[in-house]
Amino acid sequence: MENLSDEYIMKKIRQGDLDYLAYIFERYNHQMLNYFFRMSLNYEDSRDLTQSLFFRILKYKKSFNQNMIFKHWLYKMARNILNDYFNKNKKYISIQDDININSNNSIDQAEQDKFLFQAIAKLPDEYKELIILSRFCNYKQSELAEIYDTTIASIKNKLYRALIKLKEIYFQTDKYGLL
Amino acid sequence: MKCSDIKLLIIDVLENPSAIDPELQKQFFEHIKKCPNCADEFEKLKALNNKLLQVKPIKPDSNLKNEFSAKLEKEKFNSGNSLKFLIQNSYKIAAGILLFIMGSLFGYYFTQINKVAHLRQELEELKHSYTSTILREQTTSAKIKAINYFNGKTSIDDDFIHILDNILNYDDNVNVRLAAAKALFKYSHQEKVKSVLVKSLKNQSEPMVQIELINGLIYQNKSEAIHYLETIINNKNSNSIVKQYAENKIKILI
Repeated sequence: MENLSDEYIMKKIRQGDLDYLAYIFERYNHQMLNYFFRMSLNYEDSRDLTQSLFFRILKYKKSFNQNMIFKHWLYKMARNILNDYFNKNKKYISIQDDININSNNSIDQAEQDKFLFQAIAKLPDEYKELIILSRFCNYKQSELAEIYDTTIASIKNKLYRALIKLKEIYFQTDKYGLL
Repeated sequence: MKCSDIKLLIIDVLENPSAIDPELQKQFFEHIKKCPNCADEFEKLKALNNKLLQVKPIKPDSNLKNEFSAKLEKEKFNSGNSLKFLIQNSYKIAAGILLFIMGSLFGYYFTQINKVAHLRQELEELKHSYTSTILREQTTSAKIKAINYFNGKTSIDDDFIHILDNILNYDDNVNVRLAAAKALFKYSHQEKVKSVLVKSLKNQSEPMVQIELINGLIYQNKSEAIHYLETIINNKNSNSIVKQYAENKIKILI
């Protein structure tokens, strides 16, 4: 199963073989959970959003065709779910103090990450998403260009500006003087 | 290399320096050494980028997968083979049901039509048989009722013509003969009936019936009526009252 392409697996799901959804889940649940968490800063909600995403694949499986790249299609669906979530909960604007970054991290690491994510949360939406996808979800520049329907040069330019903006914000909140 | 060129290259240097042309990379770092502003920006961005890359991704808890698996099983159960079959073939099933209903309705409709036609035929045969039996064997009132059976019929068959002919000429009761005469006049457009009536005018023994026949026949064809009346007048066996009635009628016609 590891050698099967995402697109082939989607073909099987489209044909009604729901067992293949488990393979897609195995491949992407980690990445999507991180995307939802970094965007929402709420772990419990991120879990729910991740579950919703994979079952939305079943609901909209007919809209996927062989000319599409699954990863891009999945991301667009995740983005729609997230927008619905923000519209419904209005939590996007709040920066939570009790961010539970990762139970495996040390307290110091957690504190440092907390400031970093508070800074990311203050970024304009476009920059924030770009940082999260490129740095935490392993999307390459070429993939981001496909998703945003633009050129790689444009993605590079936006990434540069996003990092510059993040640097400015982070310097104001970097109590540890790590930079 | 200018400061603006550095900005264009920074992302590539941070993400994948090996992919940059060595000469460009050399120029990039030469500029950084000479330009404090660019050096400061590059160092800070590099540190920030490293920090971003050092962030450990959160690990999904084991329940996430368990919950997903449970939901998937439920989903599979809900969209089982029978349901899937129903959904995928819903239009075929609907068409099949529709065809079946239409077929049943048409079948039922045509069966009913055939049944009704058959019943009507049986009823007619029964009426025919019943009426002919009554006319041959029953009482006066029953015979008169039976003769009324002809009301509404457009024609009568030879069998009934024969029965009514016998009643008209030989029945013991004059009222029954008169009813038969009236019944036959309804079908006088049938040549055979007309022939029976004309023949009866000559052979009729009942004066009242003869008068009824005169009245019936003379209004159908004037020339033929005169001939009928002359036949009665010239017949020595004709009743005197009937003769007198015929003479009066012929004066009117001539």
